[in-house]
Amino acid sequence: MVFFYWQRRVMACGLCLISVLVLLSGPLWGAVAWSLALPLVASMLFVLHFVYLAKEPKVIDREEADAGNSQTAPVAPDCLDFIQEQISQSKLEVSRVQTLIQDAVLTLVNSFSGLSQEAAAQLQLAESLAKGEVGIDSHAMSFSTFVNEIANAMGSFVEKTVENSRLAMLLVEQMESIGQEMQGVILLLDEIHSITNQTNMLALNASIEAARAGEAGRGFAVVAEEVRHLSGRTSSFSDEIRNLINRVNGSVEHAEGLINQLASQDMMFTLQAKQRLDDTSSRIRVMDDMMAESISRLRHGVGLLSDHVGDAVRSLQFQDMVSQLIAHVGKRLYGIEEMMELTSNKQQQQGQWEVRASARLAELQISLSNNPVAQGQMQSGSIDLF
Amino acid sequence: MPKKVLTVDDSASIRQMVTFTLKSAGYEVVEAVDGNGGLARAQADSFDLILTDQNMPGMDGLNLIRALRKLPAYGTTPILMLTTESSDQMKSLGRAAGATGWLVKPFDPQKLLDVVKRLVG
Amino acid sequence: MMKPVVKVEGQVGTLVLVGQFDFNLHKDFRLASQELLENPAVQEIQVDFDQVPFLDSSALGMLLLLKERATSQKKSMSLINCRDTVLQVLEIACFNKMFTIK
Repeated sequence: MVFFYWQRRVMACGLCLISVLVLLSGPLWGAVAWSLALPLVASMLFVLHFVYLAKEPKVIDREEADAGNSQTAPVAPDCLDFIQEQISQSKLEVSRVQTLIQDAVLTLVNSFSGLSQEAAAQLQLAESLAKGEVGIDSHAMSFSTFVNEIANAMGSFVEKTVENSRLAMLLVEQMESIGQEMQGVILLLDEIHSITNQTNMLALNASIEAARAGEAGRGFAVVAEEVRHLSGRTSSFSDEIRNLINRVNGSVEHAEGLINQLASQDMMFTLQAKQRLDDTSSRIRVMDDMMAESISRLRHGVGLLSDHVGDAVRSLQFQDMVSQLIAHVGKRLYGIEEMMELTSNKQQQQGQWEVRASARLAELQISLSNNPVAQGQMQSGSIDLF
Repeated sequence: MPKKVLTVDDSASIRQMVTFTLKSAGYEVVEAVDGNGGLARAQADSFDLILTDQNMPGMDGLNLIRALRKLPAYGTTPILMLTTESSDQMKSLGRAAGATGWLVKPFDPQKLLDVVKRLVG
Repeated sequence: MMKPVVKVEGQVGTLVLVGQFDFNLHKDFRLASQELLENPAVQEIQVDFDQVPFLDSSALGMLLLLKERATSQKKSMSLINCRDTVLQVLEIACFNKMFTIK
């Protein structure tokens, strides 16, 4: 049984009193007094001891236990063990949380970086494709340029065709004037024909007159005969010229036929081709519009991606802050553990105990008062430039 | 020539986020895991900007800044503090130590890029 | 195929074409145009396409020649009453830039 402080006082007083009585009353009364007083005092002490125990509450709160010179009862051993067990488990769990978060976040951050870069690259590629910068041919031509080239080529073709026809029609006119000249020649030939006829007639008449003149007219008759021959030759030349002219006319007609082919190009075919070009052009314009819309949607997507990336980068920094907060909790746990140990060792360190305990308590309070992480949410922090 | 940035932080995720943000914008980034490592890297190389955390094992951020400012090469280099600490007291300590700016975590990547661009281009 | 009809009203001389305007018409076209070209009263020559279904290139050639001659005589020229197909052909040949088309 442990004797409390005040119990010792009572015992001391009791013994003093008895000693005084013995001295005053002599040896006989002293022996009687002692044999009566001792059991009396002992039983008083026993009774008071148990009464006191029933009244005083058990001391669990260590702060009350540390308060000055209060006579507090010790905490029951199993409660202390429970607390210490919980604290060491908490420390283990804190450490595990740290490891888990670190591990998971590292993987998360890596995959996030990868995803983000891939997405950006894909958007870039899509934009290039839409703009037609990527193609099979390294000198990729845009559709509208191609169609324009064709339209120009067609325009040149039509121009040349029409010009050719114009020249052809001029040619035809030349052919016609040749024909007309030929007509003039034919008329002249007709004139010649009638002249040769008349000449023939005259020569005939001359021969008849010569025959009537007899011998005197014989020379004249010869001349008349020659004239008739000449006339005949002129006639046959004239006929040959007429034949030649007919052949020229024939050639001219042939030429006109050929020019007809040259000049008469079908315009309908060209018309249809132009129609098809126009259709293609307008379809290309529609395509270009769709392309422009796609590009603007892609750009919007790039903007959205950027915003999402910003949010993610900010949020992934949680690991650092959570880590620091958990470390701080760990520090608190160590603090608790230390104070618990100090409390349970108090019996061995009696006098100095309070001074050292208060000093250590003050130190712990200071070091734990500064929480490095004041943030309660993940909004971006302030920026100060000095 | 791309600008070179040194980021000093004991948290791997912070270093990774800083590297990701700055590298995407064309900066070259080197990482260090604590104050001493950061000082060593700074001396071994030449950086246009330094970003550092405050709470690190060994040499903390404020001491790193003071050490860097003593080096001739980093007398005027922009040095930014990137930390969870947000108290005015800490900020004035940072200013006194020679920090160019004080950024509180978590950082928004666009804002970080704006500040870096303003300081180094 | 009918010959083109020539009408003169004041300063305007009209050449009314009937049927297909192609190579085979060249002589008659030439004669009719000549009539208008040589008429001093005529200041504007109109070619009426109301009865013409379509043109081929020879027609275009003939029109170009007529234009040349009209211009040299300080007479103006216009093409009137053109049907859709005829208009389209004239457009492809860029005649809308050279002629007044009504």
